[in-house]
Amino acid sequence: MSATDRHSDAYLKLIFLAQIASITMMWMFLVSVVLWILHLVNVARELHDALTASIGLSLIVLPAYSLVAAILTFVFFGLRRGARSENDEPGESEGERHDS
Amino acid sequence: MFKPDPFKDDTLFEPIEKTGRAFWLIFGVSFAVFVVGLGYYVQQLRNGLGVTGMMQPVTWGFYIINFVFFIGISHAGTLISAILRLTQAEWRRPITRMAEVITAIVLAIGGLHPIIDLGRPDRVLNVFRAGRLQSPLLWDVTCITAYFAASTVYLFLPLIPDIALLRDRKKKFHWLYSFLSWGWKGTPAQWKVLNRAINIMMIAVIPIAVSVHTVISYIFAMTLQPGWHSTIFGPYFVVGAIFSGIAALFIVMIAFRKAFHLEGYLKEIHFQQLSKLLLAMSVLWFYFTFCEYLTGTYGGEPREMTTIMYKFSGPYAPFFWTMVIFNFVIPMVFLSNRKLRKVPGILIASIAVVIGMWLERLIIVVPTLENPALPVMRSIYIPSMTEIALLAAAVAVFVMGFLGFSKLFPLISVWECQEGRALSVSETSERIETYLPDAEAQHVRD
Amino acid sequence: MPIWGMVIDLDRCTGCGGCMAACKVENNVQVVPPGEALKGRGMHWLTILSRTEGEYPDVEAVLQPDLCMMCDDAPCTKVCPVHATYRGAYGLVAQIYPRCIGCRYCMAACPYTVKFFNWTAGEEGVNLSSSLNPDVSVRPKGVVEKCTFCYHRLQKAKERVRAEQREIAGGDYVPACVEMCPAKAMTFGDLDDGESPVSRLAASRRASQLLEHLGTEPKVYYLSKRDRNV
Repeated sequence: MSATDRHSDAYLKLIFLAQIASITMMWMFLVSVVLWILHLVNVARELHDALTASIGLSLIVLPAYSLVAAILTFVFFGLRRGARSENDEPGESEGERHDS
Repeated sequence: MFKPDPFKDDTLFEPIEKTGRAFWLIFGVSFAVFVVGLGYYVQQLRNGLGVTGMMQPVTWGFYIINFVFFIGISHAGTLISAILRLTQAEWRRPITRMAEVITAIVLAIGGLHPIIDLGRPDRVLNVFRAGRLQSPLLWDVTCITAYFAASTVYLFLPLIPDIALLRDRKKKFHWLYSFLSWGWKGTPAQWKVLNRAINIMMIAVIPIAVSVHTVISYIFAMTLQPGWHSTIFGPYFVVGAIFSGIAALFIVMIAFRKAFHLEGYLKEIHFQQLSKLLLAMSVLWFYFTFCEYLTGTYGGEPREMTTIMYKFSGPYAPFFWTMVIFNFVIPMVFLSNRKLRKVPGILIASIAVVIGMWLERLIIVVPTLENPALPVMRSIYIPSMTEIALLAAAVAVFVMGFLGFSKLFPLISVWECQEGRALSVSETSERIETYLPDAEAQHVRD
Repeated sequence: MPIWGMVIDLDRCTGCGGCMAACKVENNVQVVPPGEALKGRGMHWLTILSRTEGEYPDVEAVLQPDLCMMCDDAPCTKVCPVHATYRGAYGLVAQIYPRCIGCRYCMAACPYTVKFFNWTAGEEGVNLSSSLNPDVSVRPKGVVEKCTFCYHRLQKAKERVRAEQREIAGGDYVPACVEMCPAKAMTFGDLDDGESPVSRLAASRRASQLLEHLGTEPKVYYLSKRDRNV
């Protein structure tokens, strides 16, 4: 368990990559949900189902999902920026990313 | 600036760092029950739904009842915690985490029930490929997944500072806590981001939670069946859900308080405050039940009356009146009397409410199906061992999930408790000052 | 395109059960083992409802064949999550067995209780494979099924009229139950054609529909001299 105490660069980098991967997966999930809902609205149109119900539902669900994804991304990058603003612990986040 | 201390509040970290024999005993028993349930489910997969007690015309049984029931319990969390946070109720601090955990676990369990109920679970992906958004079942699929996503995020965000504390304690799973803490160091900028995100989520999660149970009620309300086709069903289900959710929260709180000696955190006052909420929900539940049945009885439409009399004095009378006693009489007796409104009394009332709310779901689902409009062949629904075993397994999964969570994360929000100690007295008194009427044009600081 | 409908004259119906048996054989409806049937899982796409009307001593037994009403505004098709049941061509409510996920929502929504679920796999104990109708698929366990107005007969009729190079008309096919009925109580045909026997009977003063007030607009009509406000 020397790595945990030492906070070696490779260890931190690996964890950061895992975090980025999880955020990316979440966005992929969001995109697939959006595509799915759009597909279902299209199905409803093809089958002459109640289109208003489908569009109404998608108008509720899509913002809900988007909000969740946006909040998580906002927090993730907000925390990284916030960590840099007070630079009392070098070694954590060596200027990995600039964009948010 | 407030900075939580990772080496204070050791009691809260104790469940994570020390594992006693009782834990393994309870976990083992739950796991055994789960394995038995799994065995029954495999048998159901092989032989079809014939292994259940369902038949013509009662085509929905335990699985749908449990689905509605568990999703109802899931409203404990998010809704209670969001409302308490929103109203800045200071006593919320040790409660919110448990409530949110209940939501996440129970929602996953409840959400799987419709799949257990399917005759062809191998075709469940048809819902994604060729789903029709006009079917209330699709409304459920979308709303429950959205609610699950929102409530896990709502659980996770306030967990971040606590995960960082765990990381800084450097006891176990350091990699996991570093991964999940997202580089949390507690700088003012980070607090600002986190607080803003929590505030947005707590507001967003309330309409999503309300929508979920409304939509579940629509499964029934959208049909033309007597006893189901009712405009009141949306709010009725939501009220029932919050009601059973608070009761489940009480049971969990009392169990963990006892097991981990959290008397210093979950004090008498928390039980007092929350039990008032439970009492209020009990009255509200009774009001909705009264409205639902009074309109049906007074109108006296023959088909409607058949189902109502089936519940009042027919084969479902024992269940119906037990439900009324468990959901209204017992909470009234135990919670409106100051002498009885202590932890044991609250526990009795909560267990009664959870059972009563399960009975309510039973009473909503089955009697309508047992009374078809036409004189077709009828049968009385009696659940089979498979259905009972799967209900037990669902409860066991809940216990295992909760115990598993308690081994990884603190069940009481450490930073919120510490923040409460450090800041809330001065903050609250400042806030109260702003409430006071400024009689002599006194200068009010904010 | 014809809109198929059925008229059942309850004053002619003797309650012999011929339609029930014909339907069961024609459509390969699962023969449920006795134990299962006792549990209430018997399957008949067409059942005969029996109830008594009036008070002693003027009691009358009423027998009424109950089958899929092929509603124009069907409660079951609205709620299906996967488009396994829908209102298809000729106004018939269809059921796609390979697509059904077995959620049984349509059964809960149907006020006529004419949809059936395959609780167990068919042919248990009794081997009936040699007596199956080759035109009708055998349903696997876990799906919902119901009366189709003998759609396979309609398919054959369509092929026949194509060979004869004409449009399909009201009298081109009848379902097995109608063919079987010895009392000639059942009439089948095109409701869209005002001159057809079925639409003339459906318009008569004796005609009524089951649970009319629900607004499902069934295409099965019942004739009776009785005042029938179910």
